[in-house]
Amino acid sequence: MEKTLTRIAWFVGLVLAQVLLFKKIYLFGLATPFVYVYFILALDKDLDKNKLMLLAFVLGLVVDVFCNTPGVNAGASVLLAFSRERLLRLFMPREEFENFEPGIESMGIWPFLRYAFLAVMLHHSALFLLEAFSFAHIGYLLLRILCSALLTVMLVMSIEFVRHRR
Amino acid sequence: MLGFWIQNLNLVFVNSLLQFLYKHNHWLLFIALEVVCVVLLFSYNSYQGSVYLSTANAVSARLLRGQDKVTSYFGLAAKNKALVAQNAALQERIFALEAISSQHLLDSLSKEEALQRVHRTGYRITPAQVIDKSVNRTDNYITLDRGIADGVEPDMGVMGIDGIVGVVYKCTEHYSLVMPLLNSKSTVSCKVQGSDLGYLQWEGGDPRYAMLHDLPRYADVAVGDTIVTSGNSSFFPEGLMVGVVNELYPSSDGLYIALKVELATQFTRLEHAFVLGRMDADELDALKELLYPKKDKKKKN
Repeated sequence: MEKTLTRIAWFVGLVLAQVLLFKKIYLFGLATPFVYVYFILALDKDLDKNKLMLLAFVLGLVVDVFCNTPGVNAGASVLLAFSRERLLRLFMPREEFENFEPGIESMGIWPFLRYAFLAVMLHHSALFLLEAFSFAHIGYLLLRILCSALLTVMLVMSIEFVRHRR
Repeated sequence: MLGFWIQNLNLVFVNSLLQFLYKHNHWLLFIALEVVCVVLLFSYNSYQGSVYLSTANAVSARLLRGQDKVTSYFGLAAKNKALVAQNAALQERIFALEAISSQHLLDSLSKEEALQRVHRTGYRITPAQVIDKSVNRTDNYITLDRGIADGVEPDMGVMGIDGIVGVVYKCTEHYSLVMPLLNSKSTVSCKVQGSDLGYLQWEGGDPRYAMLHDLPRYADVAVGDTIVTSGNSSFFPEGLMVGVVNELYPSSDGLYIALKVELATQFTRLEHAFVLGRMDADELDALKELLYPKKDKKKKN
């Protein structure tokens, strides 16, 4: 019960932060962070995949409504939720077989960083390609994906540090 | 014997199919969800797409307006200054127009008749507050806190203090969504002040510049010239400020030139807007329906 409430709080908090603050950031005309992906990254490992995808869909759609981009954030988030298990398996601590919440505490700083970077790259690639829906200006697009992903990962890591190193 | 085999085979096939689907049910859900997303993406980008999945729906608009109420206190001094300057410029124009009208118009018309004439062909201006906007995507939108209840309708022009902003795209009861110049689907008919016609489009990237296309090669234009609305569409009256020519590009076939235009409206700072409702819009619509019955029906749906 407490876990569900915490989850709802994170969901609402991240959506608000995204639509009131982060969507307006446009660093150097390139980078826009999508910090709400932290919600998908940090859900427990053993959560049912279908539930995870539905949660990601709703999360993306709510962000979409506030950005006038129905389908873009939702599509990218569902893709991330779908591939998360495989990404997580790449960086999982070897002797860990039980459930855990991905984070620097459970995985260690470097594995979590690599997991987060790969996941965010996947999400952002899908997001920006869906939004542009063309390969014209592909160089600019790739640069935007990379810069935005770096900014998102930085913010995700900051959230993790604040959460776990009091 | 053969029938039995086929039946058996069928059973095995159906069984394994069901098993396959059960085993890979998350694949099914994944594909279904992605299909929903793509359908949403495409239906929204058409004119008929739902306005309720946008920032103009009651819940999101209210939240964004709340935020705007807080943040709009920053930079009040600069805004005041801009408004005073605009007031002064408008006052000057009133004096000039009054002088002209007293010389010409009032010879043959009474003042009231003249005002009526203005009323028939003029634009009703609805001031609105920008409660949300983006500049960092290919298709940007602006949300205004005025809607159908305030007389705002789709296809009305929108201008800011410095120049034109865009065209109203969709409306709810109290909010509306504007397609600004910074949207790949926006096209505005413009001209170089005093001469040739072209159309203005945005090609993504820098929100300060847009491109004016299809200007004939012989057009008399130089860097620094002013670009204004042409008055060819019903969105804007003639002569509203659009921007200033920044660079000239001859097209590859040499028949046209394209202009890079520095937009007068600073979209990153836009906070106030004015919706222009044409007084004779109904008459114009009726006329258009006579000329292009099919096109008009499509738009009205």
